[in-house]
Amino acid sequence: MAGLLLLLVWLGFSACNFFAALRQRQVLIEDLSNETGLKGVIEDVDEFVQEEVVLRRDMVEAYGLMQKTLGKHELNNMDLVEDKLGYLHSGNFYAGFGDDQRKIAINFRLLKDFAAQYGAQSGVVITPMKLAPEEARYSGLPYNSFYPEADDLLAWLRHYNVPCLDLRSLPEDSGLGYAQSFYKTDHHWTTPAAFAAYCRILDWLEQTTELVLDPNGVTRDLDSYTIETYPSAMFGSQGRRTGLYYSSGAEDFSIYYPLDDGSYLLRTKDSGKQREYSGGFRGALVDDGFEAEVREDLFNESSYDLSFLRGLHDVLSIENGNLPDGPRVLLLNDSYSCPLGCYLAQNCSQLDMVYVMGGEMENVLDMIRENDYDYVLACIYPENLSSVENVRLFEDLEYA
Amino acid sequence: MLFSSVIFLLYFLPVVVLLYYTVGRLGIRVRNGLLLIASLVFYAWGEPKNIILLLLSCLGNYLLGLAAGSEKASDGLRRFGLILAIVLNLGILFVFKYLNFAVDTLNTLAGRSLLSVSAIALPLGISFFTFQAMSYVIDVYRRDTPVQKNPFALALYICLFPQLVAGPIVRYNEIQQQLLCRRENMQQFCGGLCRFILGLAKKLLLANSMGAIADHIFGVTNLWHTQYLVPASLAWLGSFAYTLQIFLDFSAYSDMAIGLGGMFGFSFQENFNYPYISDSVNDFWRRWHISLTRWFREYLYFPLGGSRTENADKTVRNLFIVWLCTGIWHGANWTFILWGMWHFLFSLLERLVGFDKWPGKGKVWRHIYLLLVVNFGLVLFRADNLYCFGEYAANMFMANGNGFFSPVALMFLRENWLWFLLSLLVCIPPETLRGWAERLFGRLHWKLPRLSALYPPAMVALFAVCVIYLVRSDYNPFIYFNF
Repeated sequence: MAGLLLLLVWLGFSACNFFAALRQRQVLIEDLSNETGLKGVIEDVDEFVQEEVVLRRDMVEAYGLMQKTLGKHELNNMDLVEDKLGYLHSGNFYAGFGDDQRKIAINFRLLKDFAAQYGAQSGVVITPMKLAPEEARYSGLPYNSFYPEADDLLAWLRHYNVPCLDLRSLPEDSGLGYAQSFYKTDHHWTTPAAFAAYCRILDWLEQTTELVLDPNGVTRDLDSYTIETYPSAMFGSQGRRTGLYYSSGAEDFSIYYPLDDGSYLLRTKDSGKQREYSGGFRGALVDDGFEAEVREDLFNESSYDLSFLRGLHDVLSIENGNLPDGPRVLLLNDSYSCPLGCYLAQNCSQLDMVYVMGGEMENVLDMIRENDYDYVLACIYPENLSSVENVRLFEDLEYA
Repeated sequence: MLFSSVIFLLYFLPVVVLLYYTVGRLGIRVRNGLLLIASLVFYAWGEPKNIILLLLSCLGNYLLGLAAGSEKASDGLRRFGLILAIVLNLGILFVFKYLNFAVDTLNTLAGRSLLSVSAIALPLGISFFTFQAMSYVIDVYRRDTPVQKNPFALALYICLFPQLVAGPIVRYNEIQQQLLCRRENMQQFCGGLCRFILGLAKKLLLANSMGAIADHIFGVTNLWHTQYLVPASLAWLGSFAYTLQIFLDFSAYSDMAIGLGGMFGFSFQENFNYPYISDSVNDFWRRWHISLTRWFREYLYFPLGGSRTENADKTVRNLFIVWLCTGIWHGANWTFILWGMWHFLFSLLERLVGFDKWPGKGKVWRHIYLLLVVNFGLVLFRADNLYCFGEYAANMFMANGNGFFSPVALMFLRENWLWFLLSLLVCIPPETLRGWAERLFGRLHWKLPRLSALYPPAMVALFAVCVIYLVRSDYNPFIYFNF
């Protein structure tokens, strides 16, 4: 009896998957058209059938439900761990064992010297990372932290006389606190935290350089913005791996829109493909269609990834039509800089951004030569210090 | 292709089953042909180019089987066929599995690079199918089994996908009748399907959970105690987790293999018999990887003379050779060889002192003794190399100044209490568990009919849970795939 029932359920489910895969076969055909070897074909088919399992989303939710029922605070072999406030973190037993940061610091010093030849000053900003406070941690769980690597990098940067700004204490200094500075379901910071960082960076540039990006303090004044909150519109990458049930649902997402919408031209380039968006802050810099896309499918991408600058790009350039004679800044960024870039664009005539982990790093030196930047700013999230390869810089520069 | 994969569970196996029971109605040859093609696809899916090796192995052993088992050939020719088969099979195994190790060892002993050879990828299941093929040739030479004149039937014996990549190692004479004239029936099919699902659950829920714990603890140990201090409790927990993982992983695979065999009308012998309830090392090896133990006993130990030799020295020699080969079979590393020697040492000691005849058989201390010996041996087995083993052992006995208490060990227990509990229960025979339950709750026979009604929906629920874990979890190792 058990065997018969099992047989019916198994064959029935298998048939459903077969027909579902048949309906989606075009996706597989497109993947296979790029493959040349049999092994690649097999891998593509394996991946396709894994992704197209019927009721996959429900299974993710069911998995989360089972883990919750078992009282587990870690999921999937420590891939994710939870703290007492319900915030998700990457699990990492090897926190503190990143690559030697000296090489990265040397590269930044080389960059600084190179940029100085073209009249640009340089600096490095270390952003905070979502790190569970001690009192919020469950004993023994391996909460991810790359602060030891960040400590190491900052020490080397100071040794090599590279200006650096340590924003790791931003949640406390800004008064936001841990809970307001980060999303539960994503590793990124919230808009309030990103805005606080933006203000702090402008303060720092004023204090350490001649660059005064906000002379009247307008763009740093929260009264210059209208805050729009999108309820339950943020479901981050960590939450998508655990499901809505385990992560207690989607969170609110907010954007600070400047009252002065401005006029911008955003050019993005990804794997050679170029796109342009023109308009105000809302429309050019922040995709005003992101909410509809998120509501259609919370599991697709998060509001953070879809809104600010439409996510991460290999290279992008923002021209500020309202500030044609303003400073020109090159920002070497990772995903933390997406909201930062939007706000910084208000203070620059041109803001160029290059993704340090992307494929276009070779162009940075040319960009510095050709664009007459006033400042070259690198903004690094500590987890990207896990490997020297993540912050690929200028291997053809010689230290003078 | 893994049994615990979406492609196998929801695509490959249903198609094979449907074809087998529809087109296969045309006759046994059609069914065998379908299984052979399916087996080759199954093997090629993992690493396409290794299919050539497998086919060459089938062809070579077929031809040498004809020579070794020939009625008309002289004894010399037959013996030549046998020797050639053994040399070629072991030669293939040596080249793919041991050549890099041998060259590295030679270079280390010489203190410089005398030889160099490119890293050779290990074909999946090579240790299993070469041993299986060798057993056929040896059996036909001995006239224990008739020569198989149909190359496809022999190829099916060697390549049959349920037991191709991780055993059990099936002797040809156990299966030859089944190859040619088996009768499938619904009861056997359903029993096989249920056994397969139980094995799948054992693998996905229990073995993988224990494996994740063991991997983390062994991993941080390899950072060395100057970088990451591993307290003794964490080290012991890691060793227990690995001890559970290796049994659950391998026995789960055997369950799935036996279950799949049943679905196609084959009956394979059991490969595990609750080894962790043994009370001596010799008893352990009568219950652990039974097909491998049997292979070494039949084809190595007995031909050497076994224990029926004119003096005890030869028995010791024979035991030493068998355990050495057992260690070597498991992998190309000194850790495996020393693990084999560890078991040789205790096996020999037990024989010398007549341990099996000691009073106190079945007592707790004997079980604890066995578990400690096996557990510690498995630390050696699992370690990446002898240095890592030394580090791990030092952690276990607090020789690195690492203390005892570990919040991480408590965390692993807290997070995985259910999997630990179920893993321990799975190691105990159901009759023993029933006896304990009856002692606690009284006679159960009047309750069991009510419980048995839950079995069908429970199996369906277990299947659903397996699919959920299959879809969701990224961690899915198979230890014995390394052999």
